[in-house]
Amino acid sequence: MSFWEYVGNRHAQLLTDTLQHASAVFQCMVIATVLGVLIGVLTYRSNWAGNLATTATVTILTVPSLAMIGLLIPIVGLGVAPTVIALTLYGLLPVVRNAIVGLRGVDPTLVDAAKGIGMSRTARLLRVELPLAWPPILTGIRVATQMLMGIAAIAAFASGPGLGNEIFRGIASLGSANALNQVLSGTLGIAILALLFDAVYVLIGRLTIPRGIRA
Amino acid sequence: MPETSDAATASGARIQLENLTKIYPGSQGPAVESVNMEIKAGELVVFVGPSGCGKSTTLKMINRLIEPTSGRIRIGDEDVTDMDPVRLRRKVGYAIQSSGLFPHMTVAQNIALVPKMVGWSKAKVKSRVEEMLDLVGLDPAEFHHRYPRQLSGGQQQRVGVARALAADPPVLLMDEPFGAVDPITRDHLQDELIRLQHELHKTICFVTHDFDEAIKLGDRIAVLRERSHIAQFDTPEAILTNPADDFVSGFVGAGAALKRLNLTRVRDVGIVDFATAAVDDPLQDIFDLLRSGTTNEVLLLDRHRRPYKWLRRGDLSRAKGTLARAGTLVHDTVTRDATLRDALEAVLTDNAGRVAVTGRRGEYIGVVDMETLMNNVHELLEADRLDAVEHQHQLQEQRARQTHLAQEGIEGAGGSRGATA
Repeated sequence: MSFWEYVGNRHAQLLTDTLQHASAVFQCMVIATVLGVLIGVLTYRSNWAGNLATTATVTILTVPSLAMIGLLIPIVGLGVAPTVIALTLYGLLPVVRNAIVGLRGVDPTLVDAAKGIGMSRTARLLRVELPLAWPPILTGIRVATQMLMGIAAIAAFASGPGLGNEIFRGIASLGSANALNQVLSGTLGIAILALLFDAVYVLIGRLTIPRGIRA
Repeated sequence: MPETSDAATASGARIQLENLTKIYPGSQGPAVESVNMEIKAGELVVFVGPSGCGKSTTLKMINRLIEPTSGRIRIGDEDVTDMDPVRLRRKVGYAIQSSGLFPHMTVAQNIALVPKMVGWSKAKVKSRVEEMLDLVGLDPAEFHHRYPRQLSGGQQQRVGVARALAADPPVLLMDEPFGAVDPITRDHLQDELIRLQHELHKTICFVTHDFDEAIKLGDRIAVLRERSHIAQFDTPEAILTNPADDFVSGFVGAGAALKRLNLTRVRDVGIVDFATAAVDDPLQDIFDLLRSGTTNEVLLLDRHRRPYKWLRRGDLSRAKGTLARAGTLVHDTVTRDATLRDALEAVLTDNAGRVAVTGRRGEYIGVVDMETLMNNVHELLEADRLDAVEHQHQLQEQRARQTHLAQEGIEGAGGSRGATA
């Protein structure tokens, strides 16, 4: 069976896997973004707290994803839970790091001006600092999403959802007629998804970064 | 005096600083030590001093961007030392160097920030934004939707001032606002500020390290030395003619007398009358005038009474009796609003050492020459010196009276305590 015949035959299954893959990455990214920005906001003003947050997230990233999922299975069991936890943890690093760098990079004279015209701490953060730090944060989210696309494939190891199942099935049946097609369709699916997500981020950037600070 | 008339119509509020001190944790000496100062309502006071003297710190303590270690701050009749700083800052305009505009907001959004925060209605905020843009000389229709980076440095600074004034605060703090723009733009912005202040009568504290800027803008100037010690706090005239000590005279720099010329207008000095004739006068009359012996030169005026030519006794005969070729054209005139410095410049470049003074439509009013200029400047400087000496006497007397009263007050309080006990 050729690759295209395979895709034609299994398109329903592939489509479900693709959608699940996308939805897992998307949802984990939302959680990672909220958590990451929150951690950034809480730590950027203190030197040691900011560094601690960055170091902690870097350490998570050095754990191989397969090992991470393997470690999570005994704690939270199989299926969706270890996938979501692992993806969220991996997604944190770029978001936290860029949030801290972005917030610290806001021109101090602007913060001074915001204070000077009578903005409260919250107003300063929401109306001046976060909007100005948003472009680097968005870049962090974009990088994290690309990373999660690949890592999500490993989730199949813990019976998680997504295109990883396709790849794992192929690897398990190496030598059989469809093995290569399975691996190939999974991999290609992930690549296409990654490109689509990236396009969406460009659009989000266009819509959310004010014209005054767009590069 | 302009100060008294300003105070009468002022929309500004008085600022009082009492023993204001700032000690940064971990530093040995105070950054600002015991500043006492009273700024009258509607007055523009310039803090000037070398960098690191604490002038900026003093300014930032007024809106408590820097919390004072000790001392009181009063604005109007209100003690604001313990007030919620966010509420305080909404009542005090703040303009800084490089404008401090938020790059992600449009010009209109930037200006609308404070009025929105203090809860103005949408319609009121909108019309206020237009009004403020108009006030600082920017066309609302053109600049409303622009982002700060689409503006020149001078325009950004104007918007910065508009934002600071948007909620109509009685007090405006300006921290080297024109420090980052080119000299020509700075000059324009200074003129604009003077115009604005004539319209609005805010109480303005202005920090700069440029003494010439201080002279140009200040009703009074506070020359500060290290730890924000006030070396001299007085009118520009007094500081120029009678610097309190070597530090102040060093800061005033060379050419105090020349700088003094910038503070006086041609209208304030004696403009002398000059023999004039009109181009349409019969030649014979002009001849007679020149021959009469009272003058050997006349100023020829054109049909709109504007200075046209200087005509000397010999000129007419040399030009064979026609006005067209006789005399030298008037190439420079000054208005009554020109500074004495401008007048001096014109007199110095004129080969006969005089310049014609003209009115609003360019019509002849009189002439200023080297002699009147010299005499006037001497008188001015002398008067300034006397004023300054008298002022110092008054201050000393006042201080003596205050210490006296204070002593009596303590005794009096002790006495009444004793009586009630």
